[in-house]
Order: sequence, then structure tokens, then C-alpha cells
Amino acid sequence: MIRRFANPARFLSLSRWVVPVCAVLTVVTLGLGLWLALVASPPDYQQKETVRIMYVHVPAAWMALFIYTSMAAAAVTGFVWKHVVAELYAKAAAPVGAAFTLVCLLTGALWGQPMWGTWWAWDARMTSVLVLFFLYLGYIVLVDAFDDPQRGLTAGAVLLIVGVVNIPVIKFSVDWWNTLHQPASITRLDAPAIDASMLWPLLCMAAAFKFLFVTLAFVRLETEILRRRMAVRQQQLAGGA
Amino acid sequence: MIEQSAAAFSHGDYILLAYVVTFGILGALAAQSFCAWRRARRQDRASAPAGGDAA
Repeated sequence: MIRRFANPARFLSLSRWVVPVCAVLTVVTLGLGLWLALVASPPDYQQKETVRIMYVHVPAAWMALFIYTSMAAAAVTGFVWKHVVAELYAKAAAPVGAAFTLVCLLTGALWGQPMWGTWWAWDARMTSVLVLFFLYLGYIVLVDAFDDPQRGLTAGAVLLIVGVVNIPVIKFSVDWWNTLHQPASITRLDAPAIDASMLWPLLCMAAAFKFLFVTLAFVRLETEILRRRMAVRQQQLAGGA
Repeated sequence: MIEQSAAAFSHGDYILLAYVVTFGILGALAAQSFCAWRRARRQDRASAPAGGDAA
């Protein structure tokens, strides 16, 4: 399975139907999610209307963690199997992961001000998510910092693998330390501590963000593959001249 | 200054700002991604050899 998609031509043929299908699914789930989040769901008894910020903040946080983990897995795959598409996947997904992390940080601040009375606190959860954002930025800068693109991808892969230690810190920071940020409500071993009227908009927005990520990751990865193909052609032309 | 303006915000303002920020960032990224993709496809077709090549 891993070797099957190591061939960029096979990936490009897969991308041709994945992108339109996921784009349509993004629009449908986003439309439904926004209606559930802004119209159909009730206000919270404590947070009042501000709970509606959670419907973008929490899925963005999930995506920030998921994308970094997938990039680290791709970096390992690139190292072990010399998988070209996996290496390029990490480069293509990084700006999307950084965007979701930024959304998470900004919407968290916009929720924190009316609820906690502060835009920001240096508690373990928020600080570790800020570190994740800097890891994304560091990776984006590092992969383009070398004249040889392959060396950039390798250096970036090392950063991704080292930085993956931050993921369990983010996930369990609310359990390990006494933080201002509340503990997990959905991803718990027992039942979610949230009513179904608020769980469905959250899950619908999470599905929309996931489909958006798949669409953008495929589009950006296809762009990277096409750029590489053009660079190879130019080298061949220069060599033949 | 920030504290004064924060006090003037209603809950609806925070919600509106959060959604504008979210879809502003994601929309800008999507637009940039699709524009770069279209440009790369156009350049790829223009630079393709007549007989085709291996990817």
C-alpha cells in the first residue's frame, strides 16, 4: 500500500477524483455545520452564545494535532522507504497545519477574553499549542532554506520527528498540570461530557475541516509534484543542450 | 486600550470575529493553494515534451 502511492503518476491520477469529491463534501458539511453551529444549537447555560466559538476552535485544534502527527508519520515513511510522495506530503501539508493552529490560537483568545477575562495565559495547554505553531513555521522555513531541495526535506523531516514529542504534551497537558484551560470533553475514555445538541455541530464542523484539509493537501501535493516534474525537465533540457 | 475596547465588545462581536478570522485564514490559504495549483498545471502542460514523459 505504501509503495503503491510512491509513484507520483499514480498519485496524480488518484488526485484527479479525490480533489473534486472532497471539495464537494467540504461545502456540504461546512454548510450543515455552520447552520447547526450558528442557528440550530442552543446557547450554553454557562458560556451563553460564546459557546459557538467552540465549534471552530475545537475542530481547528484537532486538525492542528492530526496534521502534525500525519506529517511526522510521513517523515518516518520518507526516511525508511525513501518515499518521494510522503516527503512532499509533509511539505504540502505544513501551511495547512500552521493555518489551523493559528485559527485555534486566535479563536481561543477570542473565547478566552469574554469567558476568562484574558486573551492569553501562559498555561501548559496554550503554551504547548504556541510551540506547535512555531514548529510548523520552523519546518516551513527549514525545507526551503537549502539550495538542494532534497536536503531541505531531510532536515525538515528530522525537525518533524523531534517535534512530535510536543503532541502528547498538548493532549495530556490539561491532565498533567493544573491549567486554566479546561480538560477534554469529547476525546475521553468514557462518554463525551457534552450534550448531543452541541456534539453534532462540533462533529459536523470537524468533518468539514477534515475534508477541507484533504482537498488542500491533495491540491498542494499535486502542485509540488508538478513543480518537481518541471524542474527535472529543465535539468534534462539543460543537460541535453 | 485593548482592555477598554474588549469591554465594549458584546458576545456577538466575539463570535463574529472568531468566524471571520477562521474563514479569512482558511479561505486565503485555499485561494492561494488553488491559484498555485492552476499555475503549476498550466506551466506543466506548456513544458511537456511532445511525446510525453515519465512522472
